[in-house]
Amino acid sequence: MHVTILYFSHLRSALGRGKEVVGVATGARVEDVVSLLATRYDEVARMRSALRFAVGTSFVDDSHVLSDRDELALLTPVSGG
Amino acid sequence: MIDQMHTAAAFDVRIGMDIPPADAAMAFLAKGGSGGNVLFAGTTRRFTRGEETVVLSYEAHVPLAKAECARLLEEAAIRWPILRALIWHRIGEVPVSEVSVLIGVASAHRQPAFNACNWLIDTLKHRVPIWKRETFRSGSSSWHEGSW
Repeated sequence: MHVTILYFSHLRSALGRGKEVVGVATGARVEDVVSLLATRYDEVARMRSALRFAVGTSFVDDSHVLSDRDELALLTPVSGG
Repeated sequence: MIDQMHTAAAFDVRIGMDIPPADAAMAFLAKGGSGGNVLFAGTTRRFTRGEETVVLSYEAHVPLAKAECARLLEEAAIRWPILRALIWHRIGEVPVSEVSVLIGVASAHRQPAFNACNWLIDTLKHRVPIWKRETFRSGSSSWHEGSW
């Protein structure tokens, strides 16, 4: 199945992209996808412990099971206001 | 004696390149027959730790930010007797002295409005997926460290 990854802020700048589509095994959890991305991108590995995750308009934890065509956002610590 | 209508609170959330001015926010708050309306305006500060800022650039996960702001307003309405409330946040470039965020709360009395407004801006800063990049007079620029 395919999942769209969304990047913002520091991660978007570091990776030079706001989104990408990755192929993952059916039943993959958020942590599986993040582990895959951490092997590809040093910055994801470096930031991993500070990241939170969202699918669509809901925050999820890293054990959340993904579905085909989900949009998974990797969120760095926020600084609005 | 009834000093508050038992109707659902009215909320308004906007995240965008432009937000309406503060007088529009006050007009929104004033529609509910409240006795105390509090409006917080966050603006781009010129000096931070001795360094001069020229502009802040905000970006957001807009659908998630809107949903999270709506959740904050619902949570605030459980904690305080809110009649009307709003969160309006700009994204894109916000030069020094311009407004980046407006948070308004209307209540029957001033103290719940102050308390809810204070909680909303504090909580927004740690929960809503919005980020700012600071550009300084020196020419350097960096993403704000941020926090959860």
